[in-house]
Amino acid sequence: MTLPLANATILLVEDDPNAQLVTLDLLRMGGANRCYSRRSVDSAIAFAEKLPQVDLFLVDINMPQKSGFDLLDEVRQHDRLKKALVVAVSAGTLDIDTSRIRKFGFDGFISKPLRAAEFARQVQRILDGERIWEVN
Amino acid sequence: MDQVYSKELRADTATLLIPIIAGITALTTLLVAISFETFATSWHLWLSFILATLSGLYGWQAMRKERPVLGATIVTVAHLCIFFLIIYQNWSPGSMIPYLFAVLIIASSMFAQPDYGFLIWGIAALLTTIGISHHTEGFIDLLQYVAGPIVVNFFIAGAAYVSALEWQLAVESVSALHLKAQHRRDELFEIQEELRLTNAKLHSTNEELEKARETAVAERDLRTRFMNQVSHELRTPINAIVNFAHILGQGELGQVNNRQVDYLTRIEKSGWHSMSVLNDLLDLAQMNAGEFRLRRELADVRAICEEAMSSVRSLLRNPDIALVRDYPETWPQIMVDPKRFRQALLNLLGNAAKYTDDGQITLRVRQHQHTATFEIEDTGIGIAEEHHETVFEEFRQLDETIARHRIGTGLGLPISRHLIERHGGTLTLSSEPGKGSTFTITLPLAPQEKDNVNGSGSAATIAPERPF
Repeated sequence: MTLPLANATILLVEDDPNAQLVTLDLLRMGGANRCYSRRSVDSAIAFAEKLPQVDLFLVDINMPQKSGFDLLDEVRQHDRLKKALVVAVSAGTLDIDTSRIRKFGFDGFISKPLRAAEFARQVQRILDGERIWEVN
Repeated sequence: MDQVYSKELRADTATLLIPIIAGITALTTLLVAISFETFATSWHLWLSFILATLSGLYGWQAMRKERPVLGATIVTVAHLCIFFLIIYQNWSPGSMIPYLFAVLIIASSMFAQPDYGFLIWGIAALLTTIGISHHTEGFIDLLQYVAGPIVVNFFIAGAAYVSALEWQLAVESVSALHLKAQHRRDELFEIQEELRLTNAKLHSTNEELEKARETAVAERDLRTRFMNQVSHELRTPINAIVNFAHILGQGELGQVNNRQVDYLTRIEKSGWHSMSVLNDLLDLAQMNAGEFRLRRELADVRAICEEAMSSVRSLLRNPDIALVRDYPETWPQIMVDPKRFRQALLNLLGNAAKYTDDGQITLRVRQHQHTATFEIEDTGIGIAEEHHETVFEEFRQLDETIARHRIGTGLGLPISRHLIERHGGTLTLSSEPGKGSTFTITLPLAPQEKDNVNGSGSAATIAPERPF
């Protein structure tokens, strides 16, 4: 079950360029080697299909067109990708959001702003099979 | 009302009986008239027949127009006339005609007034006398023939009077009963109508309430969406600010000197501070909208206290300040929303850290008979008596100059009090300027069932020792 961050393939789905840069930098600083990012659900799925394996999707909830919920649906129905972990990374943190995210079947939730000092550890905990629901 | 009703009932009966009486008279006179050979000898009978028919018709009409006295009078007078005509024209001693007509006259007068009985008798007696005197010569003769019918008439009139009285009584008692029933029915109708109206009112009130509720729900949804939007829109740039600063400060993108690191750290801290202000404001907005939802559970209070105590370390103004844990041997069992309880504790501890320059900050936990208390005691600047309530008001910070140095929105205490009160507890303050402050959270212990759950657990461990 345990997968070191360094060996994990992580695909970030995030439409905000700043958040994309920040998240990828923080992942790399934490030791991740295979991190990719795409700006929409469709392009992320298309890209994931070309990768040999995706261990973790980090997905923004609020995106134009398809949302994080759509991505979760598509991944879970995908023959090859359905086993991947899908974690919501969202700036919406009110109860109404977080409880919906929990119920929907995500493998975890990390709120934005990301806690730089802890983010990589949070991702590692998720890769270790822990379900985390953390609001910063 | 009562009289109107008995009149009605009287009219009802008269409407039925008057035509029958008139019919008998008309039929009798007609049959007798036919038996006569010439019109010259039977004209009075034909006239009687016409009178009986017309009086019957008009009397009946009057009855139907609810004028029973008039109707009865018409028929009675017509009968008196017929009676007179017959005696006058065609009477022989021992004739039964006066008796027959006496009965019919009295019967028809019954529907007028009880008093009519003797009046009619008087008139009938007079008419009899006049009629018979036409046929006789001399006073003795007249007396001989007239006395009999008049006396009989008198008795019949008396009987008619009595029966009319009884009739009246019967009509009245029946009408009283009927009236009562009608009253009851009217009342029931009224009640029914009232119920219908009330029902309709309730229905419309219900509809209004439903509409109001829908509007409120729509407004709340709109507000919630708006707050979510605000939260989202502010968190997104703060995410970039604090984390770009962090990445730069870590030297990931090239060497940074000490001053640059200091500034980048300040940017990062300021960013996080604005985050906490945003969270406080959102909490406050939710509080004021009454939309604070708690997820209460039998929480691990010890872990929450420990977490809060270790988090507060980074907020201390002076590393020499001691954090004292005054914990009980057995921890109280309380039902709290862990996230919200931690938030309240952190607010109070953070508040203590903010206003304490040296000395110590103590978290004292105690269990009492029905409650648990959490005291946050500091050796800080303290709060004057007159401000003990204002500190719990929104947007109040006691000393503006101090507040400027110790950043914050002044929302921590009001939010904490609200959170604790939502848990059914209280948050109080005792403080003396210069000596320090103590904030006390008092929360009710979890209900007994929860103890029973544990109790059954321990019972299970005891069970094997019991002989079966």
